[in-house]
Amino acid sequence: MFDLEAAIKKWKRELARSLVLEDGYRDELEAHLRDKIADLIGQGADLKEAFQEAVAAMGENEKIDSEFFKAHTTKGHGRPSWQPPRFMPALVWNYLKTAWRTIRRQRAYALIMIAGLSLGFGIFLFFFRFYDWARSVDTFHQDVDRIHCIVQTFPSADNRDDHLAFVPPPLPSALKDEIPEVEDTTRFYQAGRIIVTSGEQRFFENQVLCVDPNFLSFFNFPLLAGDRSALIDKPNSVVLTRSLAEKYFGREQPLGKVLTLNNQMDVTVSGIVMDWSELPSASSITFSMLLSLEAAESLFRLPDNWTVYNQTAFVRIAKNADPAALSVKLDAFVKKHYPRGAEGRSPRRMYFVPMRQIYYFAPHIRKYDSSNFMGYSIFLGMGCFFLLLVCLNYINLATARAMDRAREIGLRKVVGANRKQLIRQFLCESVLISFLALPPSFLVYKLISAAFMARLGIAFDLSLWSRASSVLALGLVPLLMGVLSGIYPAFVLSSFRPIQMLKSRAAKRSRRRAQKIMVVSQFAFCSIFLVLGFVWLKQTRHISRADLGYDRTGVLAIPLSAETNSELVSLQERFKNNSDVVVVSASGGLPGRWRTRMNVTPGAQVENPGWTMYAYGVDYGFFDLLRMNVSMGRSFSRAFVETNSFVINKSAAALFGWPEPIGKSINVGDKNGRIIGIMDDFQFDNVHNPMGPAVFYLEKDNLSFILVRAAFPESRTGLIEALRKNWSSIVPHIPFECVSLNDHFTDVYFTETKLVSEIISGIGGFAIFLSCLGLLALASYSIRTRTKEITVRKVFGASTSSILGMLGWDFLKFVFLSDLIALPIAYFVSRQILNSAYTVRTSIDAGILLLTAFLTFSAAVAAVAVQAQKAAVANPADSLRQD
Amino acid sequence: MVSKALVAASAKPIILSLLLSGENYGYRILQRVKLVSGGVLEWSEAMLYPVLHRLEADGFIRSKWRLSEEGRMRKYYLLTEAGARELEQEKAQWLSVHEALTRLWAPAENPD
Repeated sequence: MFDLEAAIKKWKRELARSLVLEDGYRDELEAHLRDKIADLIGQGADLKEAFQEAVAAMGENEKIDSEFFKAHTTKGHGRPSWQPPRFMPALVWNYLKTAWRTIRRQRAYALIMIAGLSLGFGIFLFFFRFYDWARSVDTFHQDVDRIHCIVQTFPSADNRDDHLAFVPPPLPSALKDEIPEVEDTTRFYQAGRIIVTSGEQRFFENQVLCVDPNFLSFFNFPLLAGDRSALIDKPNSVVLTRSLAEKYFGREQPLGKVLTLNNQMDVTVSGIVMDWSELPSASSITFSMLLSLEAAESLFRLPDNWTVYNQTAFVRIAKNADPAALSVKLDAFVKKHYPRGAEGRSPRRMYFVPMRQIYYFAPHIRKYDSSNFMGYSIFLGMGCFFLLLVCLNYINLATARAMDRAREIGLRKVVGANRKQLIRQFLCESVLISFLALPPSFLVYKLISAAFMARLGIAFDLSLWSRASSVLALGLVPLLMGVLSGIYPAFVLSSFRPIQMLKSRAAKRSRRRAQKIMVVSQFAFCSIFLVLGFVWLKQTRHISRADLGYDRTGVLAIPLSAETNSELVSLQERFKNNSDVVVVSASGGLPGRWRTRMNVTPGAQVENPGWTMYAYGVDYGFFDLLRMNVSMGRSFSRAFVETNSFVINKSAAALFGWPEPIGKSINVGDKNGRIIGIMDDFQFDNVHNPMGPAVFYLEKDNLSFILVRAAFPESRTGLIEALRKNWSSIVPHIPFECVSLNDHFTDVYFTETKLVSEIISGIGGFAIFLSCLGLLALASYSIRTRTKEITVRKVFGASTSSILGMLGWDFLKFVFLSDLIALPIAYFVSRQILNSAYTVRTSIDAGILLLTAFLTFSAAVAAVAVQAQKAAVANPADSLRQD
Repeated sequence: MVSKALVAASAKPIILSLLLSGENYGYRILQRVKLVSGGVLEWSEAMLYPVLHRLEADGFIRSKWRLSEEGRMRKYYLLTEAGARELEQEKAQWLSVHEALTRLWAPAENPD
C-alpha cells in the first residue's frame, strides 16, 4: 500500500538539500503538491500515480533552484552562481599538468601504454599509407577519371568468362571513328626482351613499351627533358627513364644519343621521363623505355589484323558520356566487327574499366602487368584491428590502476570536482598519452616501411606529409584513440564515491567483470592473428613443395632473343656436351606465371565455339626435362614429323569428352592437327588460378628460353660459367643471362604469400608482446590488492605452490577461455581466405591451433609467474605488520 | 507556445491581474493562468513560486499562511496598494504595445 505521507516526507527531505530555498518555501511547495494530488485524485488517478505525476511536474531540485535564482538575479541570464560554468579555461592547464604528473609518477605504466600505442599507430599508419598509395594509382594523369582500359570477355573452359585487357591492333582507331563518345585512344605493346647496345655496353631490356605517337600527350608522365611530341615527329626515336639513361650514358647529356636495338635498328634518344619510383603517385603502367609502335612493327614484324590480341588500349571518353548508351554502342560494335563464324576467336562483350581500378582492384582481368596482390584492404583491416587491440590494452591497464588513484579521486570530489570534470581530466590524460605516442610511432612506421620495401624489392615514396589524408589521419587517429581508450576508464574512475574511496582500498567487484571480458578479447585477438600467420607460413611452405605436376629443381633457363633462334640448335648441341648437363630443351615461357592462351576447337565439329585454354609452345625434350608424366600416347619426338601434333592434359581431354582422344583432330588457334599424347594435369600459371586444361604444340621459331637440367643442382655456378663460354663462342654479340627455375618460381610466388605471412605473424607477435605487458601490469595490481588475503592463507597453512597455482589459474583461465573462443573463429576465417585466394592450398591442422594455444598460454604464464611468485614467497609478517 | 522571454515578461502583469479579483494561492493561480490563456500559457511549478517571492520582496503583493477549507495550511497572496499602482503602469505599457501591433497588423488602414 502506498503511503502518501511517508512519500511526501521523503520528498521534502530531498528538497531540504537544496541550498537556496528560503524559509517557508518548502511548506508552500508541499501545499502545492498536495493540492495537485487532490486534484488528480479527483480526476480519477490512483494515489501513487497522482503523487508521481505531481512530483514530476514540480521538476528536479536543480531546476527549482535555478528558477529561483533567475527570478532574483539582477543578471538577465546565466547559470546560478552555485553551478560551475560549463567550461573553465583555467582548468585546461590543470588537466594537462595533472596528466603529466600521473605519467611521470607511473613511468613504467606510461611507458607500456606509450609503447603499445606507438606500435599500434606505426603499424596502422603504414597500412593506411600503403592502402592510400595503392588507391592513388595513376592520379597524376589529367582526366584520369575519363581514361578507361578496353576489356573484352571470351568464353573460357570453366564456363566463367575470361576477361582480357588485350585488343587487336586496328580496334582502337575503329572505336574512335565509330563511337563519338570515345574522344581519343592510345595503345601500347609490351615488347619482350630487347638487346640494347650503346658503344661497348650491351644489355637485355625487359621493360620496353611500344606505344602510339600520342602516348606521352594522352598520359601525363612527367618529362624531364625533350618534348611530348618527340615520338610523333620521328618514329625512330625513343624515350628513356632517367635511371635507364644513366645506365647507358652516365652523366652525359642523353638527348640526341643513338642506341642500337636488337643489333639492327638505330634509334635516337628524344626524351627523358621520371622513374617509376619518383612519380607523384603510383603508376599502373611501368616502363624503362618507350619506342614507337611503328618502329616496333618493323623490328618485331608485329601482325596487324583483327585476330591477334597483343596490345593494351586506353580510351578517353567524353565528359558527359552516358555509360548505358555507351555500352549499347559497344555491343553493336562487337557484333559488327566480329560476325558469327568469323575467323579466330570472337569476344562475347566489350566494356571499359576505369584506369584507376584496373591495376589493384580488378584481379580477374588478364592484363598488361599483372598484380594479383590483394593485400591492400586486408592489411588496412588488420591495422585497424591492431589499433583496437592497443585500445583494449590501454583500457585494461587504466582500469587496473583505478585503485591506485582512488584516494586522488576521492579527494578531488571532496574539494568540489564533479563527475564531468573528472571525466574530462581522465580523457585529457589518455589523449595526452596518445599524442606522446605519436613521435615514436614515426620510428615504427619508418622501420616497417623500410623492411617492407626491402622485401618487395621496390622503392616508392611513402612520405607521410605529402598527402592530406595521411596528415589528417596523423591528427585524428591519436585523438580518436585517446578518447576511445580513455572513455571507459574515465567513467569507471569518476564514479567512485569519495567516502568509500577515502575509507578503504577495497576494489569494486563489479568492475572486475568488464576487465575480464577485455582481457579475454585481447588474447582472443592475439590468437586469431597468430593462427592466420601460421596458416600463411604453412601455405607458403606448402606451395614451395607442392607437386604442381613438374620438377623445377636443378633447371636453368637461358633467355633467347629473335637473333639467337637461327643458332638454337647449335647452342643446344653445345650445351648438351657439358658433362653436368642431363637434358636440354627450349620453351616459349617459364612455368610459374606462364599463361599464354588460345582458342581450341574440336576439329570435326564446325559449330562448336571451343574453349580458351592454356597453349604452350615447347621444344623436343621439354617433358623429359621437367619430368612431366605423359600417361597416354607419346611426347614430341624427332622420329616423327610433328608439325601438326598436339599433346593435351587430362583436363583438356575431359573437356573434349572423347573416350579415345589419341589421334583425334583439333584446332589450336589457326593450326589444325592431331592429338598424340595425354599428360597429367599441371600448373604453369600462378597458384591463385585453378589447374586448367592445356595444350602443347611444338614451337620452332618463337622460343624464349633454352632450358637445361643440371646433374648437380648444388654446384651450378661452375655450370653457368661453362654455359656462358659456350654461348659467347656462338653468339658473342648477344648478352648471356641465366636464371634458375626455382629462383624464378620463388620470385613469382613467394614475394606475396611470404610477405603476407610474415606481416600477419609479425603482427601476432607484437600483439602477444603487448598483451603480455598488459597482463603483467594487471597481475601485479591484482596481486597487490590481494596481499592480505594471501597472507591470511599462508598463516592458515597454505603452501607457496598452492598459492602460486591459485594466482596463476586466476589469470590463465582467461587465456584459456579466449583461446576457446578465438581458435574456432581463426580456423574458419583462415579457411575462407585460403579457399578464395588459392587453388593449391594447405590444410589447417590441429597442430597450428595447438601451437597457438601453447604460445598464448606460455606467454601468459611468463607474465604472471613473476608477480605470483613474489606474492607467494613473501613473508606474511611483513604485510601484517603494516596494520 | 509562447516564447520563454515573453513568458518571463508577462508573468508579473498576469499574476497581479489575477490577484486583482481577490487573494489566491499558488496552485490555483497556476490553474487560472492555464484556463484563461486557453492552455497556451503553461507555467511550470518551479517557475511560479520564485516569481511570487520576488513580487512579494518588491512589495507588490503580500502573503499570509491560513488554514484552508480542506483543513490544510496554505499560503495566500493578495495585492498591495503598490501592486495595484504597478499593475496600472504595466497595463498602460502592454496596451500601448498591443495598440501599436494592432495598428501595424491591420491590413488596409495604414497603407504606408
